[in-house]
Amino acid sequence: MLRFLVTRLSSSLVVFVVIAIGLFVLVRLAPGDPADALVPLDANPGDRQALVEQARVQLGLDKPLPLQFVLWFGNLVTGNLGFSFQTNQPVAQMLGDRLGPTLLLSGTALAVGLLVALPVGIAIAVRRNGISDTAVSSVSVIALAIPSFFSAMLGIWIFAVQLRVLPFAGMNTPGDSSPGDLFLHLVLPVGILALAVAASFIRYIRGGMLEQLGQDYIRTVMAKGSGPFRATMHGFRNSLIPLVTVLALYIPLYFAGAVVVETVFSWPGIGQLAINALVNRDYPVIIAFGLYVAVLVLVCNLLADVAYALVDPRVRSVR
Amino acid sequence: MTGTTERTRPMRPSLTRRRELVPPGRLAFRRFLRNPAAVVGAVVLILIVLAVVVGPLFVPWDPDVGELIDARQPPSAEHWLGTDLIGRDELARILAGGRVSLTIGFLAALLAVTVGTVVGTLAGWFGGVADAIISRIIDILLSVPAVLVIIVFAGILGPSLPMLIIVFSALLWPQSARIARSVVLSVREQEFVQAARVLGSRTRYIVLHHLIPGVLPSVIVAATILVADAVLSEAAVSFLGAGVQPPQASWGNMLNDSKSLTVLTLMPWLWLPPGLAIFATVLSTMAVGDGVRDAIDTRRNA
Repeated sequence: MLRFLVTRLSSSLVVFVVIAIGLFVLVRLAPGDPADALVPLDANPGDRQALVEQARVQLGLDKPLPLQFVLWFGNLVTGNLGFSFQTNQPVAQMLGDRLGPTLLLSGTALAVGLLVALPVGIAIAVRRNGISDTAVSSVSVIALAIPSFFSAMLGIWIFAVQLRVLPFAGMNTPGDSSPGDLFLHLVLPVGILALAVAASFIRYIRGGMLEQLGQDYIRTVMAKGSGPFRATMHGFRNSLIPLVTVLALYIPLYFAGAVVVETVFSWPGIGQLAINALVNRDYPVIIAFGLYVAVLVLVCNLLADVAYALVDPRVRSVR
Repeated sequence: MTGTTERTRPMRPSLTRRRELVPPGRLAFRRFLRNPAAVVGAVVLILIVLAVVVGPLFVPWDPDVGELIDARQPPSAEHWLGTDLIGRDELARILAGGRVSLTIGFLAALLAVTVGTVVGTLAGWFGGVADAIISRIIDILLSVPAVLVIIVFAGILGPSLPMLIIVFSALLWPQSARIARSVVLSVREQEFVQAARVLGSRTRYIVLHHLIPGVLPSVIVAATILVADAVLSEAAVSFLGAGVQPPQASWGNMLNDSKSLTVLTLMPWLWLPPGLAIFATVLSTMAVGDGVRDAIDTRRNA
């Protein structure tokens, strides 16, 4: 198991470096010259060329690309993510400021979604093709088919415009930072995200459970005198194997900032930061966002692999 | 049953055998037709495809050009779905936008699922170094957020349809590859596969007769999720202003114009139709996928 962990961890590190190289190259391929952009347009045309060259040296852009990468990567590892083109703030600090709201929004949504999906998914798999199964499956399919910005707009239209019961923008009413106010601001965005989370997980859980409940060992367990509950739990353990993979795929997506929901609700999270940066071509922020997501995915993958090996000994023995 | 058939049956065993000889594909098709949700989904999907392919021929308005004097009109006999903020016919834009959204969705999903199934199955079966490398590639691609890549690529190459399709399929194939791989990982350790190996079956035989049939139901469900995913992602990216660029319409960027509270409150004809169009397309795609899965996977219908 220890060897398994070490191999996984080291390969994750290699992947991280590859991603960093990819992002570095991608931004260098982007149109526009950052050195040129630093020099004011109204500078004396004669001096301008010299000023641009000076800026290039200042930014380190005159050095060969591999050296630029090594310098940049060294800064990165020591936590220096550079400065935003737009605000001149340190990028690491900007990212840190936005992390809390995103974790709050996505974490709550993920937790609420999973708490709904687990019992419901198992229950409808056990009573498959019953009324409850048909109803829940239909609702979850419908919820999955609604684009999140459309459901967000519907939510705002119903609860904020027509009923006027919920706020629809930001985290707090200006001047009011009470937990109650924060909770009210959370309801709509969390509801819309959790709906999507629950809908997709109910499908996966139901599918996985049906797969397992059709297996011979369930019949064996029943034949040996276990009640339906114990048999279901046997199946549930095995249905976790594919579920773990799905979860590893979904957590980063939500934690990277449910970009759309954050945009619609003006939620001050990482997703909104990224969209602002992309609109303004704020490359240091974009890179930082990319690296943040990469780390998140690699960590989740690592956790998924470990969990995979824990729940299915056959996987462990293969490697 | 009449007495005659009862008496003749033992003499004609071919009758019963012929029933078993119906090709599995046709049996699956029959099961699909018995699933009302799937049939309705298929019909709706065909109607939507027909509408966006043929529909523009019957709408006299240009989807990209409007008269400012016609702006913000509610639905009328002249403009069935009203006009948008700069006077373009909403129906014409829905149909034109549908062509764009559906092309991106189906092409991207087809590319992604084909690559994903092949790569995932091989990785799961062969294991070892090949699997390790492929899994790492999958990790790399999965860790790149689609929105970021599309905006960065759009900034470099200029936004274009082929670019959107390539980036989507490049980012979506790992999902089906992972699903195919995880199915193969658990199937290949099951007794019937081990038995086949002991009996000396060739790899190609095992892959075609034991692995692919096991992978197929999950991958088909994955494929419909990918179509739905691609349509939804295109909509999201265009909604955020990084996908299909105005004046060209797509269901996503039509909703982008409706983010303002004024439009949301006073002009529902501008944001309900494109939202409902995405919803109907995705919903019917998923219904068809569910129907196909239930029709193919006999274990669930036995």
